[in-house]
Parts: sequence; C-alpha cells; structure tokens
Amino acid sequence: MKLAPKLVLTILLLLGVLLAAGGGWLTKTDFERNFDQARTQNTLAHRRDTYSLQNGLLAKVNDGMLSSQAVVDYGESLGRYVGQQQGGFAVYQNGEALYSSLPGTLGQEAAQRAIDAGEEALLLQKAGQDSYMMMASEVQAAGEEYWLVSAYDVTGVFQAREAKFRELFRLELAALALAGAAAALAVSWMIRPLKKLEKASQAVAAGDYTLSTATKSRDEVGALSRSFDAMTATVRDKVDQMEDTILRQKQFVSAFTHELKTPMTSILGYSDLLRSGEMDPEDQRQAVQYIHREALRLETLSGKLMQLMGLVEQEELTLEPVRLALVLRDTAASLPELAPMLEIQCDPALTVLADRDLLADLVRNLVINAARAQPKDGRVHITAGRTEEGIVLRVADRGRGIPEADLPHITEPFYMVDKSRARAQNGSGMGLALCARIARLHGSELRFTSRLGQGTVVELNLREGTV
Amino acid sequence: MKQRLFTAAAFLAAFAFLALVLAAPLPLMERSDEALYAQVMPRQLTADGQSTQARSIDFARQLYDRDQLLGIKNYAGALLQMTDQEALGDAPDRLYDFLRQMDFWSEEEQAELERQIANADHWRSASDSVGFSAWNLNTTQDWEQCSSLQWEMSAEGQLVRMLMRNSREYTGQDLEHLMDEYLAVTGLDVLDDWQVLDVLIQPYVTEGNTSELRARYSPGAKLYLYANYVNGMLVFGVCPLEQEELAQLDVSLPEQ
Repeated sequence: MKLAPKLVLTILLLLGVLLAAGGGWLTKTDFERNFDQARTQNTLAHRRDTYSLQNGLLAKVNDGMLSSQAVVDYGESLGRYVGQQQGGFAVYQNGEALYSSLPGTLGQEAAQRAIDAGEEALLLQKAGQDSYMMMASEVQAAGEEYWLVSAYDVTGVFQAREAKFRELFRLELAALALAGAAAALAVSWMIRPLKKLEKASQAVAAGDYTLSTATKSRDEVGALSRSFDAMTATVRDKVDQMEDTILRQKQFVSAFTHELKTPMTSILGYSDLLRSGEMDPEDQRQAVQYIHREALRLETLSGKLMQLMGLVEQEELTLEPVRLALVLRDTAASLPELAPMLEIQCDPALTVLADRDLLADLVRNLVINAARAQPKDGRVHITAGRTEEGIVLRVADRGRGIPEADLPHITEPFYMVDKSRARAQNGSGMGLALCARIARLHGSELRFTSRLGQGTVVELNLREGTV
Repeated sequence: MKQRLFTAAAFLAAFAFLALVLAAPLPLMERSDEALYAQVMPRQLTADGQSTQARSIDFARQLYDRDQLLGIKNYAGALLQMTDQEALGDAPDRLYDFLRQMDFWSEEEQAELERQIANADHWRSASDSVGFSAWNLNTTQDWEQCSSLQWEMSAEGQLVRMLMRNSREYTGQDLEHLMDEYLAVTGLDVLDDWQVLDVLIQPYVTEGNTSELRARYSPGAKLYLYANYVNGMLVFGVCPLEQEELAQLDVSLPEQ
C-alpha cells in the first residue's frame, strides 16, 4: 500500500477510536447526569407524596374516619392531585394493596421488591418498553403501618440517551467523512516532495543525475530532499571524475601505444633490412644505430613509466631537511654534458624539506627540458631564494617557449608540444608528468610561465627545513 | 493492480472496524443497564444538608424538608380558607394541648388565650401538602383593641410558630425560659449544637413599651429558634434557615 492511503487510514482509525471513546463518554456522562437528576427529582416527589399520605391519613385519624376505604379514597384523591401520567403509586398494608395506580405491567412483585428494599433504597424496574424508578416509604397512622410505593417513569431518560447516541453516531460519521477528505488532501500535499524525490530517484537510477527536487519546505521531507540533491550532486561529480579518469586512461593507453609503436616500427623496419642481408656496411651500421637509439628510447620510456607508476602508487614521502645547494650539485654532477650551461644561484645555507634523490630528478628533468628549448644565451638559470611562501626554486631559460594553449597539458603523460622534435631529442613525454608528481609529493605544484620566443620559467615552492 | 486491490481491501476493513468501534457503546450501554436494573441504589437528594442527629427528629426533618427540599414557603400556592367556628374543629384544642406541656404559661395567660379564641369574630386558615396548618384570627382584648392571633402547627400537633398579644410583660429571661420549654416539648432539645445569637436588629418600639429579642441557631438541623417581645406582642417559633440565609439576617453567631 502506498504511503498516502496508509496515512489517511491511520488518521481515520485514530480519529474513529477517539470519536467513539469521546462519544461514548459524552453519552455516558449525559445519561448519568439525567439519571441523577431524575433520581433527585423522584426522591423529592416520593418524599412529598409520603408527607401528603401521612398528612391525609392523620387527618382521617383525627376525624375518626380512618378505614381501608378511607385509604382508597385518599389514594384516589392524591392520585388526581399528583397525576398518574408519569407512573403511579400504591398503598400497601400487610403485603396487600389497598390502593394502586401503578402501571399494570409492573406487577405485584415489583412493588413488593421496592418494599423489601427499604426506606432508603431506590430500584429501577423494566416493564415492557418502559422503565420505572421505584421507591417505598413507611407511613404510620393510628398505630397502623402502611407502605407508600411510588413508581416514576424514567423511560425518557433512556430514550434521551439513545437519541443522543444516534445523533452522535451520525455526527461521528460526518466528521469521519470530512476528516477523511481533509486528510487525503493534506497528505497528498505533504507527500508531494516525496513524489518528486521518487521521480528524481528513478531518473538517477536511469543515469540522469541532473534532476533536482529543489524542495523549499523546512521539515524532515525538505531535509531529505536537500540531502538527496546534495547526494546526487556528489555522485554526479564522482561520475564526472570517473569519466574524466577513464578518458585520461584511454588517452594514456592510446599515447603509450603510439609511443611504443613508433620505435617498434623503426626497430622492425631496420631489423628486416638487416635480415635481408642486402645492405652495404655503411647502411648496416646506420640501421644498427637506429635500432640502438630506438631501443634506448624504449628503455628510457619504460624506466620513466615505471618510475611514474611507482610515484603514483606512493601516497606520501618521508621528507628530510636537505641543503638545496647539495641537490643542485647532484643535478649538475648527473648532467656532465649540460654542466657548462648551468648558472646556479643558491645560498649554500638554504635547507628544504625534501627527498634528496627525487628533488634532484625533478631539477634534472627541468634542466634537460630547458636545455632542449635551445636558449638564445645558451644558459639554464637555476635560482633559489626565500619568500613569504617558503623557498622558491626557479629554473629558467631563454629558449623557444611554450604555446599558451599547450601549457595546461604539458604535465600530462606522453604530452609533447612538438612530437617530432621531442622524439629526435630522445624525449619520452614523461618528464614533466614525473616532475608534477614529485612536486605534489612535496606538497607543492609546478608553476609554468612561458612566452613564445622568449623562454620559460618553472617555479616550485618548497618548505624550509632546519638541519 | 494488485496494490490497488490491497488498498481497497484495507479501506473496506478499516471502515468495518470503524463501524464496529463507533457502535461499541451500544453493547456497553446494554450491559450497564442490566447492572442498573439489578442493583438497589440509594436515594439521592442534592440538598439534604441536615445532620444525622437532626434527621432522626421527625419535627426537625419535616421543617427542613418542607422548606429546603420541597420548596413549600409561606404556604405559597395553598388555598387560604375562610372558616367558621364549626369548621375550626379541634385546632384550638391541639394548640392548648401543646401549650399545656410547656412549663411557662400561667393560668391567667391560658385563660386569656382561650377567651381571645372564643371571642374571635372570623378565621382564616391555610394548609400545605406536608400537613402543616396555619391559623389566623381577629380578636379583641379587654380594652377592646382589635388584635391578631396566629399560630401554625404540624400534622403531628407540634407548634411551629405563634403570635399573640398578652397583658403580661416579658423579660429577656422569660423569653430564654420560653425557648427552653419550647425545645423540650418539641424534642428539639436533643440537638446539641444550639448556639445563642446576638440579635442586632432594632425594631420600631412605641413610647412606653419594651423590646426583647432572643434567638438561637442549630447548624446541624439548620433551624432558627426565635422569641421576641415587641410593643406588647409575643412572637416565638422555629423556622428552617440555611447558614447563608442566616448571614443575611442582622444577627451574628458568637465567636467560637
């Protein structure tokens, strides 16, 4: 069953139980009040009738006329006086009725039962469809004992209760019908955001993360709706990231395949020529040279790829205080052919937190790239100094520069601004990707500033350390 | 489709349950009625405010019931009858019988009363359904001054109140004695909560006459007993009075 009918049913059931309990209580208290009122009125009436009978009998005694017939006569006259419409009364002596105007349906037993109950008691007697309140009191005159038995019709009290119950029943039904309609409307209005949410969930299940519930209410449903929107936004971002990652992986595989295929094609081509044995010694020597060079490229590529993979899997580095001058000296020592080009300005006391080998690799790659840019002055400038943000290491050249459009991509694996020249210079397209990863592991980013024909500056911020 | 059928069935079941719940008071009422018809209930009076001791005295109970429960006040609605000497019946004898029981009246006073009744020129009487009767007669005294003699008696012959003119002059002590005797004859002296009241009201008194006012009140029986002698007229008797009504009179209960 859906939520809306469930809520409407619950409301109706609760309301029904409450109305029934309330109606029952109201009917009961109303009946009790009317019954008590009738009890009081009839007790008073009976006391008045008892006094009247006593008075009448005493008068007869005083006149010396008290007899059974006199009692009957007085009963009849009293009957005319108090009226017989709402019951009646009887005068008993020694268990015999001297006079009775009690309704015939009541019978002798009812009167006797009232006498047996005593002077302080009150009985309720059913006679056919009617109900009577019965009381009996003793009256004494001239040494004789008489019993006045009164019956008062209280059928109206019970009928009033039934009428009240019927009226309440009709009212309760009407109230339930109205409440049901109102509850259906209210519930339908209240669960509107849930329906929206359901639609949005179905859309999400179908792969559409763009649908927003945008509920403005401040209740729990509103909160749920907002949480749902936040969740779909997060999922959407994650999906975007995953799609981006997949795309990058595809591009990576594609670039890697391409980078692998090019030297392999050369190697296969030249090895086929060598295998045919129809080449002169000079051509053979060149072919072998080509094969050697492409194999070297492949070796470099695989080495750098392995290093990058290793760094990608590495979450963090253990950084130690390292003198930056020593790192730069290591770099220069590892690049003897480029050493004459290097112009290093570094305070020997500068100490940074770093992995010495990786930082030396980073600088070496930057220096190689700078040297390949063919600087006009034939120099690669390496400077290091303190700023407010820490220690800045800068590698600059006055070479050909990088086009602005290429700058955002140059740290992607296999990305080469000029592929043919890069390959000719034994470039793998992995150097800057490695540098970017090493910078991130040092908690920093590489910043590139470049102008075509004027050169490139690469900056890296490093945290200062103490030896 | 299945869900709709289930919903429809649930609604039908709920309506059936609601019908049962709404009709539930019916069998409960029937059961309650059966208990009502089977039991013996005590009678109920909302204003039965007399103490048990007071209700054990017939006269006290009749006075209270007539006034406070049955609402019969001052013979309202009763027929005032003009009557003659013959119709007077034994009413004077019943009065004399009552007064003779009191150790208060001298023979002269008794004779004077009988003379006034015998010389009465016309009578009026009224009675109520509880059996109380009041009598009023015009009479003349020795000095031939027209006067009124009134008394009221219960069906059992107890004097409720009396108003008469007498040649004797009563002191406060006489009035106290009169009240004591009245209580003894009516049996109201059984009540142990009679309190003497300070009557502050100042009636009009003609020159040369005296005024003595005495009153007592029984909170349990809710009865007010009075004996006044003003301008040669003696009035005494008892009447039912609620405490609230008493507070409206210009009398005060002694500090306890």
